[in-house]
Amino acid sequence: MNRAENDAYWGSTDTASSVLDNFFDEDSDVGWYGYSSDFNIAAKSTTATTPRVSKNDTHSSSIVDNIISSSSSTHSISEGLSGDLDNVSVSSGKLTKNVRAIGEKLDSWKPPSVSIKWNTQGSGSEACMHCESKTEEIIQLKKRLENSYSRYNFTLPPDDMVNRIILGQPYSLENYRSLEDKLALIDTALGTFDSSVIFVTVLHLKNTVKKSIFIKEMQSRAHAVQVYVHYLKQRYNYTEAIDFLGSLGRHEEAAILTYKWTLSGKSPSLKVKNMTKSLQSHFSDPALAFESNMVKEHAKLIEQQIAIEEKDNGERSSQMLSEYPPESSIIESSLLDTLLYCSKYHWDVSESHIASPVALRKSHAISERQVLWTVLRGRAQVNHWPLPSDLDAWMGSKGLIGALSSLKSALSGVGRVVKATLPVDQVVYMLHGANAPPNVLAAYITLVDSLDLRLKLAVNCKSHQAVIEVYIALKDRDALEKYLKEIPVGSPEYVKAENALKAVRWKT
Amino acid sequence: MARSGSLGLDVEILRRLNSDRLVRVLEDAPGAKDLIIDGDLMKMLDRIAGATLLRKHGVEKMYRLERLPPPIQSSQRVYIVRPALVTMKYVADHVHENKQSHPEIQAHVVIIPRTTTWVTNLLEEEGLFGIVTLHEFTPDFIPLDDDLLSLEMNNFFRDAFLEGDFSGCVSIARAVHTLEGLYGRIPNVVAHGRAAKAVLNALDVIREQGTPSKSHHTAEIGHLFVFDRDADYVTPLLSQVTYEGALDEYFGIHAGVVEFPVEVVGQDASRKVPLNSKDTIYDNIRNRHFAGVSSYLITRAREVKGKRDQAQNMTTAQMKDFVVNELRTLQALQKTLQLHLSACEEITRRMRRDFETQLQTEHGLVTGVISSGDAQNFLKDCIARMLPLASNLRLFCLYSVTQDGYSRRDFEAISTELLSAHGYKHLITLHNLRQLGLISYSDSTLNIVSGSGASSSGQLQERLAQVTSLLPKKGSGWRAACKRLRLIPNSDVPVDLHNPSHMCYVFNGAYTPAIPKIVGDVLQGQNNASLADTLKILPGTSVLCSPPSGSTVIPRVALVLVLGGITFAEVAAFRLLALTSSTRILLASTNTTTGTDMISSVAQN
Repeated sequence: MNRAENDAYWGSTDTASSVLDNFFDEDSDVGWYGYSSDFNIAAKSTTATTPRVSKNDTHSSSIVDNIISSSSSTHSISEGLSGDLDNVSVSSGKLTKNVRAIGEKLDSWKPPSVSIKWNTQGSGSEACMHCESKTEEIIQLKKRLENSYSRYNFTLPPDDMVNRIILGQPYSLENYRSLEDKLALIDTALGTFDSSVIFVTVLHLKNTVKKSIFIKEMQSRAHAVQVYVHYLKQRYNYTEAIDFLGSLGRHEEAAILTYKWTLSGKSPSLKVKNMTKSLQSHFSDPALAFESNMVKEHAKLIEQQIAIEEKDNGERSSQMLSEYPPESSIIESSLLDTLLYCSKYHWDVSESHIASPVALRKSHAISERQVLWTVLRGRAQVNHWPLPSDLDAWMGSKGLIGALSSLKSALSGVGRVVKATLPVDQVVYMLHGANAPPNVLAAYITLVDSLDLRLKLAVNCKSHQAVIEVYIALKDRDALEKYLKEIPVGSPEYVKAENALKAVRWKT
Repeated sequence: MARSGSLGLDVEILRRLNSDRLVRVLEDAPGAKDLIIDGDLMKMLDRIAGATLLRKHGVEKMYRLERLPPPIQSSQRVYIVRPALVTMKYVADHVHENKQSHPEIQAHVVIIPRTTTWVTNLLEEEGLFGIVTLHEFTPDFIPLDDDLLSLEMNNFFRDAFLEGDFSGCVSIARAVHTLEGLYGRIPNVVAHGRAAKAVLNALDVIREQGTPSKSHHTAEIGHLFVFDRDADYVTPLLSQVTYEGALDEYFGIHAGVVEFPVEVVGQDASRKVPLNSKDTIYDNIRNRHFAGVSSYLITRAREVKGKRDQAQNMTTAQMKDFVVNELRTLQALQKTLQLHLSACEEITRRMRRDFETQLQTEHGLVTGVISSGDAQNFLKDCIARMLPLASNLRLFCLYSVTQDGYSRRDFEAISTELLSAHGYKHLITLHNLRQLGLISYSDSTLNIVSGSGASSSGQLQERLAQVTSLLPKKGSGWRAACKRLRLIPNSDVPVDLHNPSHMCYVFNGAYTPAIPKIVGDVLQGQNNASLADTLKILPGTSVLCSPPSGSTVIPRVALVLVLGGITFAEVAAFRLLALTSSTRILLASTNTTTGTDMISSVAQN
C-alpha cells in the first residue's frame, strides 16, 4: 500500500476522540459489557458504604497531595473494617500505600465468583462458629467495599497507575482531573520511557485541556512530543503532526514532515505543487536554507523529468530509444539517474533541447566528479566510449568551469579533466567491466602516473597496448620480449611491440 | 573455536518455554482456526514452532496479513500481529468486513510482544473492543545458538532510537525476567543508555509483581550487561571481516539462518541453511578472519579427500566397515566444506574492486591516520559512482562519528552530492540520521580572517573565543571516549589476524568494538567507580548495581544484552573474550544486525 492510499485509508476513519477508560483484562474473555453488568450487582449491595467513600474523593482534589502522606493512615481502611463497617474512615486519612494494596485486589477480583461466594458463605455462616463467620463476613465485605470504589471514582497515585498500565492491568485515568495531576502522571510515565504509558497519559491531557495549555506543557517534554508525533505519523495524520510541531516552534521537524507529506502526493505534478507550497511555510526559516534549496531542486527535477518523458514518449521510434529501450520511467528517479538517461539517449542534442545532458548539468550545478562518472557509465551502457580527450572537449565546451578546465588541459595534456577529478583506476575497472575495447582502456590507463599501477591495470584488463607502453616507458626490454608471446602475431599491438623492440634505445 | 563448558546452564529450555506458551495462546481459542500472521513475525514464529505443531493445535490455514481479508475457512480466525497501528487497522477492517458476511466468525488477536495502549484505543475507536478477543504473547529469548539469544525485534532500532518508542523494552524485561526465573537473580548489573534504563525499570516493576519464591534461587549468572546500540555506532558502520560477519553482509543472516543464493548452492533455487555450532566446520570458521577461511577449508577438504582415498587400498572387510561407519560422515563433511568454499568464492567475487581502499579509509578514519580531505574525496567518489545507498551512508556516518562531526560546509557539500545520486527524498533519511546522532555538523564557520572587521586584535580574540566555544568540547565526543576506553590498539604491536589474542582482530587490528571491551574490563575486575567515570563519556546515562560486598562467589557467567541489534563482529569478539577471560558469555539482543540493516531501517523508502 503506498502512502497516498494510506492517507485516504486513515482519512476515511474519522478519528474518534479516544475514550479514556480503557479496560483490558488479558486474562478474561469477559468483555467490557459483561463486566459492567456484573459489577452493578456488586455495587448495589454495598450502597450503604459507597457514599462516604466517594465523598472522600471529592475532598482530595490532588492525587499528588495524597501520595506523600505518611504510612500512619495505612491501616485506616482495614482497621475501620475490622471494627465496624459504618466507621470506615477513609475520608479522614489520605490515600497512601494502602491504595496499592487495593489496586492489587481490584485486580484479582472476578465479578461472578464473588457473588457466588457471598451467597454460599452467607447461608453457611449460621452453622459456623460466631466469630469465625464474622471474620469471613468482614473479609467479604472488605472485598466488596474495595470493589465498590469502582474504577470511576477511585484513583491510584501516578507511580502505581503507571505500573498498572505497564503490566497491562485495567486502569482508568478519568479521575486525573487537575492539571497538576495530569502532568504528574505524564512525568512519571516519562520516567519509565515506556511509550505505551506515555502515549495514553499524553492523550489524556490532549483530550481534556485546551490546545494552548497542551502546547505549553509539551514544550518542555521532548520525549512526550516524540511519542505523540510518532502516533500521528502512524495514523498518517500529517496535518495535525505538522501543525503540532509548528506550534512548538520545531520548524525543522515540521518542515521535514511537510516534505515527507508532499512525497505522498498521488501524481508527480501534485508533488511539485505541494512542494512549492510547502516552501512558503516551515521551510521559510532561514536556518533551513539548505533544506529548502534541496526541495526546490527536487521540484525542478520532477518538472524536467515530466517534460523529458513527455517528449520521449512522442519519439519512441527514435533509433536509440528502440535499440536500448529504457528500463523504467525516469520520473521519481534521482538527478544522476536522470543525467544517466539523458547522456544515454540525448548525448548529441543541442543545449536548448529539453533532455540535453549539458543543460541538465548546468541547471542543477552538478559537480564535475558526478558528471564524469555518470556520463561514462551512461555512454558505456549504449556501447559508446568517449576517450579522455573527448570528455575534455565535452566538459570544456560548456560553461565557465569547463572553459577553465579546457584551459588546464591545454596546458597539461590530454585527459586532464578526468585525471584531475576521478580515480582513474576505478574508471578503468568500470570500463573493463562494461567490455570497453582495448584501445579505450589503453587511453585511460595512460592517464595513470604511477607506472606500477599502470602495469597492474593493463595486465588485469589485458590491454596489450597499455602493457607495451608501460614496458617501453620502463625501458624493460626483457619483459617486453616475454610479453610479446602473449600477443597474437600480426595484430597491430604485435607490430607495435616489434617496432618498439627495434627502435627504442634500451637499457643494457 | 571451542567453547567453555556449559556450567549447567541450558538455553535450550527457552525453546520449549516459547513453544509451550505459544501453544497455550492458541488453545485460548480452542478448536479449528485459521491463522493470519503479520509478515514481520513469520521468521520468528518459524523459529518458535513448526507448522506441524501449529496444526496439532487446531490451525487449519495460515495466511500473511494483507489489506484484504483472506477467504473464510474456519469459524475462528486468529491474528498474530505486532502492536503497530496500521496492522491493527487492517485487522479491524477485516473484522468489520467478515462480520457482515459471516456474523458467526470469532476473531482473536494475539499481540506480540505486548498490548499497547494505542492498540486498545484503536479497537475501542473501531467499536471492536469486547468483540475481538485480545491475547498477548511475549516471546522469551529465542536461542539462535548455545551462546546467542535473540528476540527477533527487527524494528526495535528504528522504533526506539528514532521514534522514541521504547514500548518494546517491557517485553525485553519480561524475557530477562524469565532468565532470572531460571538462573536466579543476577547480582551485578551494568547498564547504559535510554533503552537499557527502560528495560531495568520495567524489570523492577515486573519483579515486584512476580512471585518472591524465585528469589532464593542461587544466582547462576554473575553479571548482567545492558547496552544501547548507540553506545557504539562505529562497530556496525565498519565493514565486517569475520566469516560470519561477511555472510551477514553479503547474503544476510536472519534468525540464525542464511539464504545462500543460486551462485553458491549451484542449483536452480537459493537454499536456506541454518548456521550454528552444531555444524562443526562452521563452528570452526565462523569467527575467523575472512582472509584465512578458504585456506582452512581447503586443508580440511584435502584431509577428507585423503581419508576417502585410503578406502581404495582397503580390504573388503575394512571397506564394509568404512561404508557403514565413516562414509556418510565424510560425505556430509565434504558437502559442507564445498558449500562454504563456494560461499567464500562468491563473496570474493562480489567484493568491490576497491575493497582494500574502502577498508583503509574506514580504518584510517577510526585511527585518525587518514586526512579528512582524502576520506571525503573517497566518499564523494563512492557517491558519484552510485554505489548502494546504505554503503555510502555508512561511510558518511562513519566519518561524522569518528571525526566528531562535519563542518556545516562539508556536510552540505556531501549531502548535496548524496541527494543528487540517490534522490532528494533522502533529505528525510539525512534528517533521521542526524536525529540519531549518526551524522552531526557544527556551525563553527572559520571565517575569522574573512570577517571584514576582524582587524583589531580584541575583536579577533572575541571571535576566536566564539569559535572555540562552538567546537566540540574536550573530553566529550567519540574520540575522547575512544581514548578513555582504549579502543584503538597500539599500532606498534602486531595483531595476528588468524590466531587472534586480541578482540581488535575483528577489524584488522584497527579498532576494538566498545561493548565487548567494556564487558572485558569489568570481567577483569574494573571497579564501579572508574567504570561509571568511563561510561559518562558515552551518550546516555548508566545504571550500576552490585551485590553487598562479602557475599558469595560470583559465577563466571555473564549475560550481555545489546538493544538495537548486535553485529557478528561483536559476537566474534565476545567469543574470543569468553576464551581469554574464561567466562561463559551469553549474548542476547533484540536482533542480529549489520550497518546496512541499521541504516536501511531508518532510510526513507
